[in-house]
Amino acid sequence: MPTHSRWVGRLACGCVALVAAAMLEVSPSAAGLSIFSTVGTEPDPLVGPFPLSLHPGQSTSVGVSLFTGQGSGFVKPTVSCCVDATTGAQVTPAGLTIGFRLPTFADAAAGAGRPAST
Amino acid sequence: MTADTSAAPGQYAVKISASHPAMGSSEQTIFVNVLGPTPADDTVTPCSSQVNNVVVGNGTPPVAQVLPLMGVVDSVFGVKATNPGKISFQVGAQTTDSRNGWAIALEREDPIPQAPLKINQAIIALTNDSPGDKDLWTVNGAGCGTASVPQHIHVAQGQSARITISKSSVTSLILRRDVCTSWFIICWGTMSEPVAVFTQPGFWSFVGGRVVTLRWFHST
Repeated sequence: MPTHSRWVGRLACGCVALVAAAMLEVSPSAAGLSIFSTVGTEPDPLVGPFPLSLHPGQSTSVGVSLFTGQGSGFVKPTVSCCVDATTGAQVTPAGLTIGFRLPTFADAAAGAGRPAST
Repeated sequence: MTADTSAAPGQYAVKISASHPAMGSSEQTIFVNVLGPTPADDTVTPCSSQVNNVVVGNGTPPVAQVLPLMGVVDSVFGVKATNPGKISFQVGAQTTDSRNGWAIALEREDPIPQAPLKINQAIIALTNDSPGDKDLWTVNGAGCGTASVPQHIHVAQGQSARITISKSSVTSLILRRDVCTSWFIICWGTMSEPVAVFTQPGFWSFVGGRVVTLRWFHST
């Protein structure tokens, strides 16, 4: 490749990188808030890789990770229960209690970065 | 989350959300399954007049064997409990006379669609790896051929086909095979013989939300 072509190529790559950086700067998702759980993301209790299931009389918890921008202060998630996954109806299942427990210093001591649990 | 002893089995979508004035909001839906006990098997042939409708000559007509499911369901859930990352399961089944055998695979739909299968839906595939044509019919024990039109798969040897079924119209599946009824050098006539039918009580615990592939690998 002739020398001038290499410089044109480098300039083009540089421009693309600058545009991408500018887009990231204004994108709300890049600057903002993201929340996810690795468990319970697929409905089936058997063939989903990380199902969330329990029997009557049992308790369980799921890790929820919340990422915020630096210096954004404290953000507390809320839990909204429930939609019947079969019918799509808003329901309040009898006998099922779901709450959000914030991480404690004990959790932090047990493992840095350990997520909060519902 | 806690399910007390009176919690009703079901599958629930729970929305976890967070918002911040400057950063917008984010949410994640998780699915929570409250599991119930596996229904006990029964030996009743669902819609027996529909399932066992073959009468040939004066001999005893063939009847479908009822395949139990309670032990199988408990077994695969037991394996899942000790291997949470496992996402496919293989189950073997055969008739008591050992003349027919199936390898049954329970898997998730792959690639995962935008809207995954609900727990009241299933994809049923029939693969025929043994001699003779095979059939699979849906059975609706609530209506026995009148409440809904049965769904049907017909596969020759080496073929495979699939259907999507719904809990509202299907309570079991009947497996049939073509057998020769008049033979002289070659087969001049066949009939469809009922071979096996799944017990109804645990059927949806077994198939619900999954791709279930029945590979009919043995038939004599």
